[in-house]
Amino acid sequence: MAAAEGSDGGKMIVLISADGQRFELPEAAAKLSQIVLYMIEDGCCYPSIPLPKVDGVILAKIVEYCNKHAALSSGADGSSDAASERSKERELKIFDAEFIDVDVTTLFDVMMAANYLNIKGLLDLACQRTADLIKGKSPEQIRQTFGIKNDFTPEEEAAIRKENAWAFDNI
Amino acid sequence: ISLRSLCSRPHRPGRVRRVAAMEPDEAMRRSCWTQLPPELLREVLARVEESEGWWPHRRDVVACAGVCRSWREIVKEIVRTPEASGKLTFPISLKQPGPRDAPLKCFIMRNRSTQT
Repeated sequence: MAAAEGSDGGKMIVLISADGQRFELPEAAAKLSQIVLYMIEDGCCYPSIPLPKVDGVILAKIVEYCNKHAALSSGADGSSDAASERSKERELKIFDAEFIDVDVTTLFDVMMAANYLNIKGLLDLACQRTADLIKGKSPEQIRQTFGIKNDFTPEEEAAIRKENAWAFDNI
Repeated sequence: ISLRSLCSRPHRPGRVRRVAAMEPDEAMRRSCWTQLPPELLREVLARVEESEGWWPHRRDVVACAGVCRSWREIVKEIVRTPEASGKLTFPISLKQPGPRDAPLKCFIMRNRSTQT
């Protein structure tokens, strides 16, 4: 099954999520995950690769990301002129921006999955999105956004607030 | 089977009510970011640190250091001294004299809107 061929003749890989959902994708897309790449190289991908730490909802997103990036990676369709490279880059940029525009819980899950599956581009994207969400916020707004508990003692907090007063006096 | 199911059935509504009252889903959602492994938190905070070199945007770095203990610890590790980075981050930098042998001996922030 995992050795089945896709419509373009490439090999297909089957990933199984923690809740038992099956996702079939081209080998080139699956290999964007370092961990899956190693399993393919070691011949551990037949008939399928179980990913017990990733649930189906998130794995569906990961597969969508890998499919898009593999399809648009340089030379995937044989064309290599500069103009088509630039247009592919633009398309990927737009795709990435829409892909990562999710609620913070999904963002967290995507980041954890990208880290576990070792998909560098996706991990970078998720980290950058998180950093962008942090920017322009006060400590309390950051806590609210990400549901983080303030664990400073009142004394520590008073000291920090005093120390930082001038940094935040106009926001 | 019937005994088991009879025994377990009365528990169900109670459990559901308790679950609804505690909203564990909600609680879990709110706290998932506190489970972020330190190496990933460092990746994120390093991006904030790198991208915001100058005031007033630099205050984003100061804000991160005021979120909670684990964030503060990591920000303090990431931020280098003003002598090393050429960037002012924590206001405390302004009050302290630099090292005697360093070219920078103290730091003064200019308010660009009111001072020339």
